Amino acid sequence: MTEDIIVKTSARLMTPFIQMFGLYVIFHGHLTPGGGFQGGAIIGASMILLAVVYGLEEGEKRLGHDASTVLESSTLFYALIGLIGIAAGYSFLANRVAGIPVGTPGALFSGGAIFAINIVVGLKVASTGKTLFYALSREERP
Amino acid sequence: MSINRHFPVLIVVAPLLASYLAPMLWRWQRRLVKPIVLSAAALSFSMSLSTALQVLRSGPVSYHVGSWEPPWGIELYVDYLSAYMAVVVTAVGLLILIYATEYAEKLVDEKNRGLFFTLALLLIAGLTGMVVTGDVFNLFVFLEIASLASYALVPIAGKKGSKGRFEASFRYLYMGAIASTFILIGIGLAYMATGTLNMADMARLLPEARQEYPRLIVASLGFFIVGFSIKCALFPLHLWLPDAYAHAPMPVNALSSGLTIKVMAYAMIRLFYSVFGIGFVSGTGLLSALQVIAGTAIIVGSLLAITQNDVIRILAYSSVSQIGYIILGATLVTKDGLAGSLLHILHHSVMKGAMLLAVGAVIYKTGKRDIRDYRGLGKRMPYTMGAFSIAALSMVGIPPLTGFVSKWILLLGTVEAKSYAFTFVILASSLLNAVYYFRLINYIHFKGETAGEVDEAPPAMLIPIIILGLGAIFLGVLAGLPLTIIWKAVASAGL
Repeated sequence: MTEDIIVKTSARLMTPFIQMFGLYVIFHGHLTPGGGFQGGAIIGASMILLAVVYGLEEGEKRLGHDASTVLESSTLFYALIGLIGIAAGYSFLANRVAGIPVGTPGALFSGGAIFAINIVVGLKVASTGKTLFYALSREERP
Repeated sequence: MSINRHFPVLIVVAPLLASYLAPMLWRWQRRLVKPIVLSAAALSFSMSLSTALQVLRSGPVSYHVGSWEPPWGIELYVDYLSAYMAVVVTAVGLLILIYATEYAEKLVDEKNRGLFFTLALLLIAGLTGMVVTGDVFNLFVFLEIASLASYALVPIAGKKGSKGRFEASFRYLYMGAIASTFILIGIGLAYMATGTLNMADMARLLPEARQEYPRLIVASLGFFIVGFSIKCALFPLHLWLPDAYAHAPMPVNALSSGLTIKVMAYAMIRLFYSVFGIGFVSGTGLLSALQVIAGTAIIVGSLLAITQNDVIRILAYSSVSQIGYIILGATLVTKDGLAGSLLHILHHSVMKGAMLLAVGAVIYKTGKRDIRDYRGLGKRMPYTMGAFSIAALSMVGIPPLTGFVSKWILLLGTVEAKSYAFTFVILASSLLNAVYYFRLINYIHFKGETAGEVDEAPPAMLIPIIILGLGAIFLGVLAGLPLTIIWKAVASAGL
């Protein structure tokens, strides 16, 4: 891999901002366009950027395979949040009626289960994007 | 308040939860994976059974996800047909997973084994979701979950699999992706015309929308038919199936043949009878076209099966032929036709499940899949090959085995519809079935000895095979049992 100072520096400078924007999209998923999936895709793209510029090993150091496995199972919490509704005596994925606090509409901490679900989905999608990239770059030859 | 009320959603959530857990457990607590996977499948099965009994006792169950009233929220709607399909899917799925615990140990790469259970459970979750949902878009979401899981399951054996596995999976993937797109367009057009995605609501609004958009609704129906025809491997859109079967591990084939293509056929039946209304569908002329295609599928599938020597391909082409029966029965628009079609879904799952798993046991023991190498296996693996032979005889339609009952009811259906050409097709196809299944039985039992020293597969594999083999007998003798719920489903379909 050739050393390119411009690419490396700009990637290093951009990454925190890209990730911050991804987090913003995730956390404001219930308020503005976007949500867990879109924000997660942005964060995943930032990790792919690091892997492309600094090499696959360096990227692996930032988010290892074990961590990905855990993050990808985070959808577990989606289902568990859904079970809260059943535990409260309502339906699967019941939100306000099941007593999950929803806050003031328009505020950051509002939306009840949707807020939590967006975060879970964001983690999952970010990690999946990265894993897909690694799976393709280390393609198994038939 | 009881937990029973939540069974319609929990049937889907139990395998879904376990499939999320499986990769983590595989990494750190490997010995827990199989118990968790099997107990999730067993839980799903027992909940389906309990829901089916409840539906039989007190009528269809509706479940509002998130406590949102339909048509705004997603509705799960378990009527007689859904309850029946849910039991078939979860019961056969559980047996195949039990079998797979042992099979995967030897014939799936260690690296992929955790993934195998994750995807198999995800497939079952997607299929049960398709069966219980009462929402067209929800149907699509579960369809995609199930489809993506099955594309990935084809090459799952890894380095222990065969050479062309990626190519076969890729061909399946893009045939499947085209089908999914067609189905999505169909949903989009129907949504445009009615403004709703809830099946019951859509059925209510469609007659009115037909006045305004007469051609659009027919186009939507056409997209659905083509999409689901690819998904259920209806001739001439079956080309992905034999290749995928030849390269995938046997439990995956059993899941695909026993469950996936059946649920896709179910989705087509559901759309015809519960959404578009069968009167409208047969008025468009698409139904008679589908009848001819299904009749051709029955004959061509059997003819192609006769030309093969690879056992897996014989069974794959036989599946193409059998899906023709199911679609033909559903398109005859007679009571007996639909009942025969629905009964054949169960019967073919059991028969083909038994045969595919039995062939899997032979591959597990010897790695052989050419029929000429099967000589004498009847003596070496008496239980496995016994179940295989019973299922094969049943497939031909020897009374009182299962295949006879469903084919008989289908025959009555064709007579009732006065489509005597199809009566002839079914009879002729039984003869063709006899040609290739008797050939298999002949090689296995009566053609000397080339199999060498082999013994029975381990109990975890043998027991599901024997249960399915016995099923091929008892579901024929006791066909009245599934028929009680089927007749109610047929009655509520408005025939």
